[in-house]
Amino acid sequence: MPPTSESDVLIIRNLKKKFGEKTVLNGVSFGVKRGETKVIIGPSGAGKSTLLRCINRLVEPDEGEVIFDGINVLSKDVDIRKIRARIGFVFQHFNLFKHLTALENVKIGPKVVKGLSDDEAEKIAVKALKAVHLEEDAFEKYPAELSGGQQQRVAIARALAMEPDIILFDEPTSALDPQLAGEVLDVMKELAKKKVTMLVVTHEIGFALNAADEVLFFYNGRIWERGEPRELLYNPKREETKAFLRRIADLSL
Amino acid sequence: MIGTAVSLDVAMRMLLEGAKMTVVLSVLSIILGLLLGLPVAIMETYGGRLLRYVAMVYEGTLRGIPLLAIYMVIFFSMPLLTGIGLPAFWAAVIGLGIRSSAYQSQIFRSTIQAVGEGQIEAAYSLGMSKLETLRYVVLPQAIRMAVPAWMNEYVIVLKDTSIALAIGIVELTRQAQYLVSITGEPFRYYGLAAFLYLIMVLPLTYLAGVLARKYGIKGTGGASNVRI
Ligand SMILES: Nc1ncnc2c1ncn2[C@@H]1O[C@H](COP(=O)(O)OP(=O)(O)OP(=O)(O)O)[C@@H](O)[C@H]1O
Ligand SMILES: [Mg+2]
Repeated sequence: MPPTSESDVLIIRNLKKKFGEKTVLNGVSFGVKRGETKVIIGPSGAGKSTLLRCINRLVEPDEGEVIFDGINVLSKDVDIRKIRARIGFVFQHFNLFKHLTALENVKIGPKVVKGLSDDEAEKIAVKALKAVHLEEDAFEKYPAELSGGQQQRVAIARALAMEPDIILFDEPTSALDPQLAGEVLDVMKELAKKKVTMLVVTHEIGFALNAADEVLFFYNGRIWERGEPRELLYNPKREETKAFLRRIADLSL
Repeated sequence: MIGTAVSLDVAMRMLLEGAKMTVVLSVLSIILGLLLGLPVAIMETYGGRLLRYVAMVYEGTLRGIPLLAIYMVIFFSMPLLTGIGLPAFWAAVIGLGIRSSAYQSQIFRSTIQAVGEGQIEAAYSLGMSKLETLRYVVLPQAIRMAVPAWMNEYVIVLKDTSIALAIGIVELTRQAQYLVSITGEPFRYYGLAAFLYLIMVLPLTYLAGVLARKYGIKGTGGASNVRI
């Protein structure tokens, strides 16, 4: 199925990236439709983070195309800041601004990047924090005073407040213990239900089964196998996919 | 004239006069050092290759030369070369200020670098420019983390004002020296001067702690390096 549909928010074509001699992305192509949740799984070093970082050009890819809402992101004429403002990014280690409260962390994007007034930004931020179910008494707390789960939910709210066309998640729960991971995954499942477009790198098979429209298995810088979640996760075709799924099943026992 | 008696009252007045000069000199110098040191630190961390190099040479040179030699260059050599002579007071401020700027740039460089790459990437991912990231994310944290080391730097500057007596500035140590020379009582007057330095420095050390608690960022340490 060639990724050329009109409804694709994001189209990746033949993306390649080397770090020195090491090929990290070796021709990756897929699309993400509006309202869709796509999950990427794969072993460490497969290039999953690099792929996400190439999409908003935190990393410059060597070759290929990234088309976001019809715009060629890699073109030299593009103002990448305008693109980034429309692509949410949620990091494994939250990366909240440590000198700002939860509320301020969420307000700063709309204020500084979109130029909204303090009042407007505050309204949006409160709405976003409520959407991730942050407890009201945590609004004025600093990141160091929040649990990991709260921090990650604030980070998701920070992305939501920009009203992005798509949110990229890079292993959002792998730095959290299972209980805290659960509260973050619940928020993400709600977002999936609300048809927020998401591209999620994760090892949470439960989330993939529950929320994903498609799962991509990354291996050696390529999409090794892809399919509907139940099909790919319960009935993988290729040896490497089977071995990987066996390994994470062992880990979660 | 050695042996002239000076009343304690008069002596104290002279010493306080000197202490006033010490304070004025140190405050102007630390401010000049800040105005130069912070941009140098930004050049060293955010500049292109050329800017970075220029800033490193600036910092390295000023840290490598004794303050007395800096004074000699500014006050005695520059006028010979350029024909422009500075009043001793401004020569003292500039000498102490630029020397401090080198140490302050080191303080701010370390705290700028202490703001994690992750937060910078988060700012970029929101669509902030490099400048906005510096303004809203990096500097507010770097400056606050720098408070303890910066207060310490101020104490050093305050004490080093005494070297300005070499170019004729009449500050605390110079006043004490004068009193000793007319009375022949080094123990008493250098002792008094030392006491006054302590009185100026001790509250600052206390204040540093208070400021560090008030402005410290929860979950981050301060700048650890102090004049290495
Ligand atoms: N900036 C970089 N410079 C050099 N090598 C890099 C850089 N970033 C990533 N790599 C290398 O690229 C390879 C792929 O990294 P990437 O982080 O994309 O993998 P991943 O699939 O996200 O793995 P993980 O599950 O461990 O997060 C790794 O071998 C990594 O060491
Ligand atoms: Mg990764």
